[in-house]
Amino acid sequence: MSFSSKTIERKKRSKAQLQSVFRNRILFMSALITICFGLLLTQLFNLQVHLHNKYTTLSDSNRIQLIPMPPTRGHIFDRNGEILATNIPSFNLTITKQNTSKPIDEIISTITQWIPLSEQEITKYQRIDRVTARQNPVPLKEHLTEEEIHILSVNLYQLDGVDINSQLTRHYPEINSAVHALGYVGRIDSKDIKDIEEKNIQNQYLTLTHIGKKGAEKSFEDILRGTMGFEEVETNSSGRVIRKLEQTLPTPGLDIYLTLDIRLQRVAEEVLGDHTGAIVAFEPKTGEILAFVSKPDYNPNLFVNGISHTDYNDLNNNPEKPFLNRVMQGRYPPGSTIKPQIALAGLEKGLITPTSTVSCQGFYQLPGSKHKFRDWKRWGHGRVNLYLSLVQSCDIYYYDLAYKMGITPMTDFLKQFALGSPTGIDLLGESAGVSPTPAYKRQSFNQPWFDGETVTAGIGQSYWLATPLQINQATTIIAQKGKAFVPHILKAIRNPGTQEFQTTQPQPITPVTISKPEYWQSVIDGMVGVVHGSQGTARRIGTGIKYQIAGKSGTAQVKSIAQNAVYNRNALAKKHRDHAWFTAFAPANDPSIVVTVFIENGDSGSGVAAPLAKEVINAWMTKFRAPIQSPSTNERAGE
Amino acid sequence: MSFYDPSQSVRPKGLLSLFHLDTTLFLLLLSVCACGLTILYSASGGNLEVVQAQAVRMGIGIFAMLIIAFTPPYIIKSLTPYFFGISIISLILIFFVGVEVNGSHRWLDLKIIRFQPSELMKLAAPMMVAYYLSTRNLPPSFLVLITSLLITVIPFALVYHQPDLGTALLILFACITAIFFSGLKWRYIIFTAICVAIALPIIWEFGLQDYQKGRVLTLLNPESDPLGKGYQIIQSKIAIGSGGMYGKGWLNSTQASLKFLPESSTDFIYAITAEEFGFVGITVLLSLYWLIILRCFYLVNRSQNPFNKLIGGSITACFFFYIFVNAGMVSGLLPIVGVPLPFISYGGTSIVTLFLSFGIIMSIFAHPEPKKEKEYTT
Repeated sequence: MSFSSKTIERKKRSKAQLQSVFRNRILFMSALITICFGLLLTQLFNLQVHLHNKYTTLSDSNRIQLIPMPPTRGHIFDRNGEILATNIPSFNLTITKQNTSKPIDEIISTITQWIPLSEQEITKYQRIDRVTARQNPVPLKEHLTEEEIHILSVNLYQLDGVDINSQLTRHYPEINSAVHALGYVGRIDSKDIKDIEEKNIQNQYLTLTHIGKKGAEKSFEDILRGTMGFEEVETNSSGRVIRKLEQTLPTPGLDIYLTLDIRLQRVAEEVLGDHTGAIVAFEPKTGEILAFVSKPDYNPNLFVNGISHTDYNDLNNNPEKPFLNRVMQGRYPPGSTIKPQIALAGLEKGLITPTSTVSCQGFYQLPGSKHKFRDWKRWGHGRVNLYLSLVQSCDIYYYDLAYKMGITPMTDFLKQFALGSPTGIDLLGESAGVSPTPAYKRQSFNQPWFDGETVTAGIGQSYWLATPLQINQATTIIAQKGKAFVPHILKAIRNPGTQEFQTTQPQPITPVTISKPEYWQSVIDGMVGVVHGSQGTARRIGTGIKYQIAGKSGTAQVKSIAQNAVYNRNALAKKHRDHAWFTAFAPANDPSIVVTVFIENGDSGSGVAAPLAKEVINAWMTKFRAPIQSPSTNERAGE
Repeated sequence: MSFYDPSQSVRPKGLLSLFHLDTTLFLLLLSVCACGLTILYSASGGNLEVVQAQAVRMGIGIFAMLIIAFTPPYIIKSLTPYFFGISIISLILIFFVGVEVNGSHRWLDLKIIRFQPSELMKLAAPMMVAYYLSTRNLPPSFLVLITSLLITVIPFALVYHQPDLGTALLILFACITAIFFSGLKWRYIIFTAICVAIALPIIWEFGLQDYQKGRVLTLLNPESDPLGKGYQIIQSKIAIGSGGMYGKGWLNSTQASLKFLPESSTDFIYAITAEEFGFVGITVLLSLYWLIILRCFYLVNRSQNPFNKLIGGSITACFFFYIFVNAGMVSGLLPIVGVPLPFISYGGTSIVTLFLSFGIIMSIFAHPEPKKEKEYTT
């Protein structure tokens, strides 16, 4: 009994002990569980309250997609509202992979039964397809013809995910005309992307495929482009649009009016014909560029949708370099065209007067040197004053003047005439030309300066290099007696929505001041003599016109001629023949146009270039000078 | 030093005691189920069929719970070895006739019903351990401990080989808590903890499949693989974080409706809850869970019977383990382990198993032992 009671006692104790152990363990476990719940709540608090903003942003960026809506590029018109660049609809055949129900190969082979597909188009499709998301359409064939559209629209119901898409394509109705001024748009390439990133305007190009590559299209890209619009849509995880939330319409690009007169441009292009060269014409009272011709030219429409390799190679390998914008990037020795400016420098510095004379015997020698600097006229011009020196383009007069003046005072003075310094035109990529200075020679050739080079610099040779644009500006400054304007091609900007015009104000250059203003007239008289004087180098063009032209011819040597040798046109390779220049303005007393004609290896400024300049001047003076109508009232502008 | 406790002799009280249910616990469970159906409706994208199917399963579960609740604990105890045996056999059978889903053999097709034996094992294994321990003197001796561990390891190994790491870990946890409640000496616990700490690197090197390693690595740095392994964690954290203090509102989850978060109605439903109801809503849900756990512990603690105590404690701890692993995984505290959120996640077997386990708790509540009960002397 005592044993059993003891056993029971022990078991009761054991049970009580177990009870308390279990209670403790339960309490321990409850505490642990409560701590764990605390842990979960802490994490929730951290995520939901502390990091709430971060995750809200992430959540929105998950579901909200901005679909960029590209703006329409602005049109380009000439000064009279003639369309130079516009957008025309074109139709592409696209495949959206997400919506297709058959393998791509099968789809392509089906399409081939309806319309021809080149190997090139298929490879191009595959290349773009690889880098495009499933839900985006990829073009298979671009620029469908009417006939192809008909065949396809009848048959496309058989294929899912294949559509005809329309898009606007840049079109240049004037084809080759003014291509160097106008430029063109092309597909954005890696270099453009770099530029865009540098300017930090990637947002503006999200879905734009084209960008201005050259000329006005490039220079006024920011005006023409417009502002990207956005459509805010909610998408699911596979990118399918569930609904539209909001949309900001794109702002179309602004239309621009160029200062060009396409009629004058056509005349200039016609007269230049097959010559390799340039013609540029200004309205001197504003600095507006009326014509901007560089030959040979090319068709900008080829570039809009990617030029073919053959076409590109043909252009690129052409020895006449059609891509070179000769007006503002071609650098040539200016020759005698800059004599009026050098004469002004001599007058201003008191080295010559309008009446002082120099004896010209056909050659010039530096003191203590036997080297003969020859005049273009073997026997010389006799005694020449300022007027005759310009009219006959006497070289000896300017050899002497340059030597007396010294190279640096001369180049410094001519810098005011945009010779050796850029004109500041509003097109990108202008060349500054070269001033023949000892510093330039040292830098480029690491050679010392010789006096002989100062002498030849006096007739626009030596190291002088200038663009036709610079020569025209130098002439304009004389025509305007020092008060000219920076040449520009942007005349006005028009908002296509509000039809509001904003005209570009001409920007005056730093005026060139001459101590005796009558010197301007002395030089202009000389230039009038070139055309209208009895001995003028370009006297042949002075007939049959009711107004006076003031001009200056230039025949710039490309290859120096040995002592005592004679320039023989036929003995020289074409690329070594002289460049022909003629720069002129009219009417001489109240100029309304300044023209410079440059013909590469054209031989004779007065013989070849001058008649072309007269054609252009005459077309302007007699036909196009009076504006037909102001652009704001132009009906076609809205097209 | 009296072990007289008035509560032990009191008959079950409460509104639902007639149905052998504890009113408080039952109402708490019903609230969670109601929350579950509400959230599921939203997480499934407004699919009423899914919600109905889930409701039907809950009905079946509650019915099963009632049956278990009416069964006295000693009968449950006496049936335990058979239950365990059947579960082990079906687990072994799986290797021969199992249906392969997603590369693992988990399902057994019985023509009439398809079920996962591992789901049964989550209940059978801790019951067997509790059964074994309750027939021995407690606290367990070393030998008893080894035997209990053996009972644990066999089902664990079988499930782990399916492979189903999540369930295997649950079984392991359930058995170990049963051993813990039996009064396992602290020195053993500390010793095991040290052993585990040493063994972890070794298991990492040799014991884990690549996909499991990936899950752990992804957890440590989900951003390293945002479109691959880290995608789910990142998306679920976005869902939780974007919910904020008060949530986006019911049916307004963008992460689920736009399908950014995969498995949003099953394993990741916790994230949707947090997204739609915010910190406040999820705190309410976690509080319900916490109250359920505390109520269960209270009920279990009143029981005198060691088997009841052990299995009740283990079930409750397991219930917590489910919640913690799921919530921890979804909120980025733990690696991704396929564990559903109890009563909320969509899924058949798990809901029924849960109600079965709560049936045992109810049964313990409904059948207080008479004072003279001498079960412990066996």
